[in-house]
Amino acid sequence: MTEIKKKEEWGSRIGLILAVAGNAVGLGNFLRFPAQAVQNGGGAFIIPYLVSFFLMGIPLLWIEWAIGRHGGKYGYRSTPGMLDSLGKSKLLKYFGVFGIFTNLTVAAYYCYIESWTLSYVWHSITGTFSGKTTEQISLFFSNFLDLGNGSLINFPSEAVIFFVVSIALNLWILSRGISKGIEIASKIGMPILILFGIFLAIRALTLKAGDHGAIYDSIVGLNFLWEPQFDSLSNPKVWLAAAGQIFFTLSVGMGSIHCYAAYLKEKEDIALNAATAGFMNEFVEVILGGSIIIPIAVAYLGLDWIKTNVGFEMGFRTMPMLFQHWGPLFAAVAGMTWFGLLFFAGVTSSIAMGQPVMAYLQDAFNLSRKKSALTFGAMTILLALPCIFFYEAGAFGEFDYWAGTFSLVLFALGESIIFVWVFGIDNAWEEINRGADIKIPLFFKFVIKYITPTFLVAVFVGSTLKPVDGNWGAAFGNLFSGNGWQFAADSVIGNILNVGIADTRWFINGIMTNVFIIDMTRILLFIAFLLISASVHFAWRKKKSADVKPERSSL
Amino acid sequence: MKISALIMMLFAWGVIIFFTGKFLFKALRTKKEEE
Repeated sequence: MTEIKKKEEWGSRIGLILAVAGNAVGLGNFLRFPAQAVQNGGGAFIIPYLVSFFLMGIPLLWIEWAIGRHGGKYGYRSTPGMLDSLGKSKLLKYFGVFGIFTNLTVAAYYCYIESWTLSYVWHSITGTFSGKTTEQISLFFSNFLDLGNGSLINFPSEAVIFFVVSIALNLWILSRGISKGIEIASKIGMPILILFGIFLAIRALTLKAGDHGAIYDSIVGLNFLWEPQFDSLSNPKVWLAAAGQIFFTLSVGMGSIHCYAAYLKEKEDIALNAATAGFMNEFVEVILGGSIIIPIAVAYLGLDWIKTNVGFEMGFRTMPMLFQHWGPLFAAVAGMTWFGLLFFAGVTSSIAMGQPVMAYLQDAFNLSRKKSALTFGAMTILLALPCIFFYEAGAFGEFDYWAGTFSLVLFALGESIIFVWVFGIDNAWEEINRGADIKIPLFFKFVIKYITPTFLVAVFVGSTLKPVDGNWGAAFGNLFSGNGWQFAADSVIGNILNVGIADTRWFINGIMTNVFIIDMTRILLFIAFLLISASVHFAWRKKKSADVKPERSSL
Repeated sequence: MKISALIMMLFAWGVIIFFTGKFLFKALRTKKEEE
């Protein structure tokens, strides 16, 4: 075992908790959760949601914190080394490549979305949306991203400027280090985010019909979100949606939690820290996230509109218009708080993606903090280019699907199996409980060994084999009657087979098609994974020749 | 607000506020050893 060259540490416990909670709190808390809830049983959705949180979310947080702190003990601050330290197989470190790959590739498109929120803060303050109609504000979003220009390529000049500003801000925070950069940013960003959220939630929940043009009381929106449809609980689709939401909201399966935990001392608590950060994320998601977008949108647009339009882009295309009902000054304040909240949620998540990549660069290639930050920035910009310029052709969606969805589930499933079954459940349980400030019920030992991996297998299989319309009963009926399995277009297999795309040619009349862009994006992501794997291979080989005990090198 | 919706909302909020408060309070009281 070798010492970490220069030991960085968290300055305070609350700073660490806020940083990990900030990593988890993202745009999905405010835009994805409400949409998932209304589409999957309303109030009844909270039952599979909380069951998934207790049986998969919290245990997975403990697993990732434990892997991170265990790896940190050996000087590893990124997942290849951390997984390598859990067993004897030389292949473990290559599985850890996912923890670098996902952070790098997700950061590329996530920082782009983050820059939209920054731009919208600016436009809200300067009154760009003032006096504009619904169509005009929706068109502003399309023009901002240069959508619908009839070309395969988008040239969103303003979005690029804000993207560069966002990247620069991220790099500045990251280059300041753990305690002076990430921790301070989280201590500032998270309280502001929560205050903004509380402000908007109070405004949303006090809206009355006839008040500033509202057609319904905002309570109608709350009814829509929370009224339970208990028959939905017998639908596997609802359980898979709940498990998926818990999985993605906690930012597990990325390698960023591992990295943050690697800066802890061997006997510092992880059990209480992980639980606190996890519940803080739930507070922001269920209480604040569930009280803003749906109540406001229903109050002004009604239930029928919401049922057909609820989704991610609603936050940008619709919310600025709804704020206009509150008068110019309040609209500016509401716009600034809404997009400011999303921006802080984005920044605290994107810096958590940068740190593992930087830690890897520092450890494997002896780069300084500033050089590793610049290298991370350069790689992020390079990978973001297809997401920006081929957004409409599908490159952005491919990044989100393969890096931001599929890889996360695969990595989480693999790491939980490695931790519990390769490292061993007794070692795992001891690692989780070392220095714990809370007593974890013994029941969770069973959960971590059997239930959590089962949940992850269900999410993985569910996303891989998802049938058309998520209707598993009908899909099995078709299968047993000899009609085969009909994959949904957004299932893993469906994506690979280009289900739902009638013409899969790369060129038509000599002109590139979306399918070409999509396939090239997939190849790019695959090459990125291979290059990171190769760098791990060479870094280990270099250390092997330099170290007396290569398997515990300071990678 | 419909009673069934209110019950589900208060149940979810109650569980989350209880555990968030409980854990946060304990974490703030039990600071890092160096602090």
